[in-house]
Amino acid sequence: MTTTGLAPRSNIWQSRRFRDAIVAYAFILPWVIGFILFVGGPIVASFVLSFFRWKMIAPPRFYGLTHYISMVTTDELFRISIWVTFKFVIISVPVSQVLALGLALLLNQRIRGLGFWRSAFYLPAVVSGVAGSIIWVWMYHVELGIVNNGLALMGLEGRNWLYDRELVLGSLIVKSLWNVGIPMVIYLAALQGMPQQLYEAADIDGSGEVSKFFAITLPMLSPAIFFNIVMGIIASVQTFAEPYVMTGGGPDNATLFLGLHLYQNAFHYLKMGYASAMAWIMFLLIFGLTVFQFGLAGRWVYYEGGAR
Amino acid sequence: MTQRESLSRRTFLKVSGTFAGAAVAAACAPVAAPADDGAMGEGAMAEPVTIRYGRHDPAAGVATTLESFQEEYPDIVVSVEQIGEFHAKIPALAAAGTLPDVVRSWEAMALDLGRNNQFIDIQPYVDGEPGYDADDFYENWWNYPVVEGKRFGIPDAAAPHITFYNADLFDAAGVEYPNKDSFTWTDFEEKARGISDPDNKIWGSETIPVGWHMYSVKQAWQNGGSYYSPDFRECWLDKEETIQAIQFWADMLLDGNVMPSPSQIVGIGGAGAAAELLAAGKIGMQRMGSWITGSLVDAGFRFNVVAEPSQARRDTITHGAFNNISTTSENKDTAWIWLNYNTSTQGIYNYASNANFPGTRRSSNEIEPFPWVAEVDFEVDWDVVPDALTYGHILPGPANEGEALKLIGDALDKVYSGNAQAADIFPEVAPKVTAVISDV
Repeated sequence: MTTTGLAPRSNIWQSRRFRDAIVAYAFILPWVIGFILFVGGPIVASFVLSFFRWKMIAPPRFYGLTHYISMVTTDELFRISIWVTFKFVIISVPVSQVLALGLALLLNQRIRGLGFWRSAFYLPAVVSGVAGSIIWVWMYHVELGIVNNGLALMGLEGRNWLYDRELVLGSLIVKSLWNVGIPMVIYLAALQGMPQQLYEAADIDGSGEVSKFFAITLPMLSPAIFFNIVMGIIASVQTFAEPYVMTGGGPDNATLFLGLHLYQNAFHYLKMGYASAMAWIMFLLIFGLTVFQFGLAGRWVYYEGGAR
Repeated sequence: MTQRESLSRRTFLKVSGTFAGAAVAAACAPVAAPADDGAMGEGAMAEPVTIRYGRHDPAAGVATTLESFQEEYPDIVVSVEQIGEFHAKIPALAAAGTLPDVVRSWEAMALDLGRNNQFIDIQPYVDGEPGYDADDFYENWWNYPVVEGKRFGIPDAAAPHITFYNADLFDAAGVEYPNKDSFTWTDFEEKARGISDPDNKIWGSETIPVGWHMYSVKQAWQNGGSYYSPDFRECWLDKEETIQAIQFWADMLLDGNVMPSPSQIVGIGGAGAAAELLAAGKIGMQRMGSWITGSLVDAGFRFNVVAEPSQARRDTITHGAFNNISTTSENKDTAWIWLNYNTSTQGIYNYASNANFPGTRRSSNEIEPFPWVAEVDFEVDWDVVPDALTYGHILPGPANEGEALKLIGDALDKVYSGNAQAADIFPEVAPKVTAVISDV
């Protein structure tokens, strides 16, 4: 029998490693097919469509960069939607993080009915955005809502929370805090994994609660804070259900979020190419913000056992 | 003891490959080819032909017609598809080339799909139908879906806006009922002021549902104005008549002693909530579609109807839908048989009686019992309802309607909230709207 430097070709096909790979790929194939058809395909399609004018009921026409240019030069509503979204993100994300952390610290105490309180604060997070928004429409109702009726009990005058241009964005920000249970659970998990020896050492050194919080708890929580902020910003930029259900973008476009403006262009005005271009701008916005945060993370996020 | 056999990789791959192949083959298999359409009209066919009939409302509306149709045409199967999210899914189906054979589309949608070759011109079918009585249709309805000589639909039922009033509230306030023969905007305002008692949450008029543009459209018409030119290529929002009309009603809305504020209405369900307030006995007059009659029957007060108040001319808005044949239908002749049957005198009556609307055919409205008449133990001028079809107009149908309405709606928002005057903002908006709707 003669041998050569190369293994016979048939051995590659019959090798255990190759067969293992085939089995592995066979297992992930359904997901890959699903991804290509329902995620990857539409992503590519939306990029291509962003250079076309397509009303759906007529064949697409090549438009070049017109959509991207007109978005920043002539679409006043696009500028409004960016500004509305920016204001929402810049307020709702920090406030929700502070609130979530505060709740997590409280729910990390040994108190009676802890399970109930944890469930109660997390419960709104499992309610769908649409259902939650409808509940809040009623809560904010001028005459029948619990908010104004609660204020009346305290002798305060109610306001027109969803139809007053000055108040409406704040009303949606307050509603967004309803979902604070999600970052709260992450903070709670991080708090429960906190190494106790650090606190014991601090106790021996005579540290107070406040200094322990700032010197131990916060730095040790920084990866969770970073994660929650990244996710919070992504979710906030994509805000859609609340303005869609609660305000329709009004009054006077005061809640015309980027996501809603995109949706209206796609499904109300049938400007699929333009909406696709807007989707890519939204993606670039989120991508840029995320990269920016990762760039800053090295300065303040502390990973135990790792470099800062 | 039996030993479980392990699944070998080879067997696993064979089995999974077989399933995957079968699934892909099943997914990619073409829909069974329809029977040859040419056999229609020659009596019995070899195989039944299935016609897909897409509509936004429930199939129950055509159940009676469908039953008699199936008896008369056993070889044609009509599959009714209720399509939710109609405004978005119909264009998506058009893009995919899978529109139902017959589509019952909204007003502007019918024209837009027709202009873009998604619907066929069905005038040749009409012309080829012996004894087809086009004059039986109300003129506005018959002429509406015609673009450049091509017909993109046959109407069925129509819902006109009229004025409902609570006679008991009028009596309590000592205000005379609206005059059936002459009812102007000035009359409307006077009577509404006479009834309004905001401290006790009683108003003479319903509010203007700001986001529901039909209100402003009909108000413009009643003053001799219009949103658009007759061919829908130019925005006429900046015309004096339109500006005056919108400003008149905006001033009344902002007055506070004629109608409730938008916030008190919109927060509990938009225009529909206004009807609830009427049914609750809180509102003297309600200008609304004839469909709210049902909610008033058990309201516990006497009500009556009168035409919408007029200014320069008597006018109102009517809603409805048009039945069309899609370009991609492979059974157009058969589709026409169903469409024609469904929009016949009896077909329209069947649907209208289910929806409590008048039909768009005069002959349908001569069949008793009249669909728009509700059983109450007091006199109601029911003839006002079908009469509105003789002078009312149909919702405008410009190209790119959604984007146009956004521009107009934003301007209306400002006027109705008192943040702008119509005379200032409409001339700014009109050219922008014209640019949108002229881009056909």
